[in-house]
Amino acid sequence: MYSKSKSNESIVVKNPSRAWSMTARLIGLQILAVALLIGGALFFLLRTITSHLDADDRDIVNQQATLLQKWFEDPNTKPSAVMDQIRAPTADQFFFVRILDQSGKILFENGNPAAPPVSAFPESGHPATYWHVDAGPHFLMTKIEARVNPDNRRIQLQLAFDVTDDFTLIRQIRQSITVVFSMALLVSAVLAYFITRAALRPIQSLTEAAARVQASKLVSRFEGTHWPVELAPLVREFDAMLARLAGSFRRLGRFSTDLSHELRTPINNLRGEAEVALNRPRTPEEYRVVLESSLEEYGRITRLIDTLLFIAKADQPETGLKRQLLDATKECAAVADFFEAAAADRGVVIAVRGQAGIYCDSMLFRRALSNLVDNALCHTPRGGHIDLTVRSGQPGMTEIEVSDSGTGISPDDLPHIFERFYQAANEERDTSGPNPGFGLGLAIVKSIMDLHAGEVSATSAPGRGTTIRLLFPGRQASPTS
Amino acid sequence: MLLVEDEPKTAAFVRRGLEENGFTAAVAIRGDEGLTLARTETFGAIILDISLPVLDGFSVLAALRESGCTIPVICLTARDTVVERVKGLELGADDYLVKPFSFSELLARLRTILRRGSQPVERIIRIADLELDLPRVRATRGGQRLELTAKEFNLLALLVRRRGEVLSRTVIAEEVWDVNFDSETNVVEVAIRRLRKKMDDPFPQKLIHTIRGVGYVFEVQIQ
Repeated sequence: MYSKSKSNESIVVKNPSRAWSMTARLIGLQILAVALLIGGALFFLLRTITSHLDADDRDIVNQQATLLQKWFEDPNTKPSAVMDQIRAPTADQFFFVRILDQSGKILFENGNPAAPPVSAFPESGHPATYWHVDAGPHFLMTKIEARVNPDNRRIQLQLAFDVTDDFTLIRQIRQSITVVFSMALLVSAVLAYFITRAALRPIQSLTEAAARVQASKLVSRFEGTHWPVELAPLVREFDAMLARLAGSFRRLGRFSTDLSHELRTPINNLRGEAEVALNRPRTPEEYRVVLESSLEEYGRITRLIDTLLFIAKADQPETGLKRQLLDATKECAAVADFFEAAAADRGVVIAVRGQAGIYCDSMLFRRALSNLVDNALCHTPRGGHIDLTVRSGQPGMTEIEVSDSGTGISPDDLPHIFERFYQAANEERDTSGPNPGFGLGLAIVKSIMDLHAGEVSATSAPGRGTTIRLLFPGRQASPTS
Repeated sequence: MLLVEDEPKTAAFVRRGLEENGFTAAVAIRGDEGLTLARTETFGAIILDISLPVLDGFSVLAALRESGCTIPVICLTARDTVVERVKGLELGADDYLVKPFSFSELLARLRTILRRGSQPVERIIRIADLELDLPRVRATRGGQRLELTAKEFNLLALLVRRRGEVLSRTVIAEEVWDVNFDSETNVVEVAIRRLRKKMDDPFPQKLIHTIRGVGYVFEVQIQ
């Protein structure tokens, strides 16, 4: 209900860290996505190559070790012959072989000065391990035991395989991957920038369109252009907001026009009476009459301002509707009660019929109904009747009907009766009585129905009477206020 | 009575009106002055304008209520928004009048507030040759029973209970019919006219008097 005061405050950005440039954020996210994708792919590639090379090398080392072991254990081959075979220059230079006896004494080495020391080798039976010193060659090492004939003596075979080439290859691949990755990031950043700019262009256009909106010309600035699906709702809301603003401006504008126009008469009266009264000395009684007349005019002006302001404000649903579930029959009876004396005076009977609940603001409902009954009373001749009929309409709706047996409204006037200051052509404006109407009664009814998101309609048969129908939505259907 | 109002013409006519109706009134122009006066001296009620220099009416009211002061306060304002009205009442104002207000209305509301809680329960009221029996809802004049409808009796009872007070049509509609909006209808006039026809017209001494442009008053006037 008091949301009005809140809506007057400016919208505060609560989280300043969120106020980043959208462009920056989008570019950042795109680069991040590219980095994750390409980085992941390259990393996977590198892992595959490395593990392949590793598996191949281990196969080679293990095969070679087993081969050596077999040679040494072959009863037809002498160990010295095997050693000669290894030492021969035709032997594969990538392999380093060292043979130790059980006490750890080196029996044979194939003479590679960069070879790993005895202690660097893994235990026999353990998987092969890598070894290297600083920039020196990389070795894959394994150790295996063999029983050498003829005396079944145990020896240890240490085998190291030079895998420096593989390591070099991997290092090169890693370098290329880094270069490719950096390039990809750079390219994606540039692409992201252009993509984002293109994607955000509609926002730029939206801004330009909004900048063209002026208070004096609150027409839609957004129609016509084909907005992207994502922006369409925003644009629609913008247009709706503009329409509401335009409506408010129009109402306020009309309020001031109506007001200044309608103020002319009473102020003219006040001014004229005062001037004439001051023209020459008068008796206190005469002054009194002038003052009393002025008081009446003041009351009229006050009521006029109140009424016009009420209508002007009625568009804002947060005006302070205090809706509750009420007994419609009781409310109607209260209004009928109010007019009891006036009706009796005119020889008109007011009857309340039907039974229904209603969800509305009691004060406003009574005000609307009073205006209708008052109108009916003015147009119903002696002996006539006014019926207030209450009934439950479609689910949740409540219908209130005010029908009279009066003079009716001509079909020409009927569509306009809810407009403010509208007076039927055949109806002389009654400004003589103490309570001259402004022609605002039905406009107020319309405003009150708008506030309740309800409807008002009128049917009339000239000479036979008029029926005004008010339709109030139920509690569920009503917008939450 | 303390009147806190910065508009000199308003302050002048309210003060004069109050004094002519038997009240004494002190006037403060600024909000802070009003607050100081209200704290140092004793008043029956405060009439407080909302838009005041230095300290606005809401702040004065809030400060007063915060210090536990329960003096009746009627707020005056030129801005009639629901938010303001609610704010005023939430802060502890006893009543709220929107400018332009009628002086008789201010007076009526002031008297209502001052009467609150200390009203003697009148059961049978006799004025001139009129007798009102409130519990039995019966009115007689000059020994003759008056045939009044329920609302007519309520109307008469209101006028009699608040005799000597000018009651505006708005106040009457509110008290008798519980209709609290400024209606353009002449229902109250008609009701008064019909009441008069029954209880005044047949008798030489008139008791209900019209104050043109203001309202109605019940009193015995000496011719």
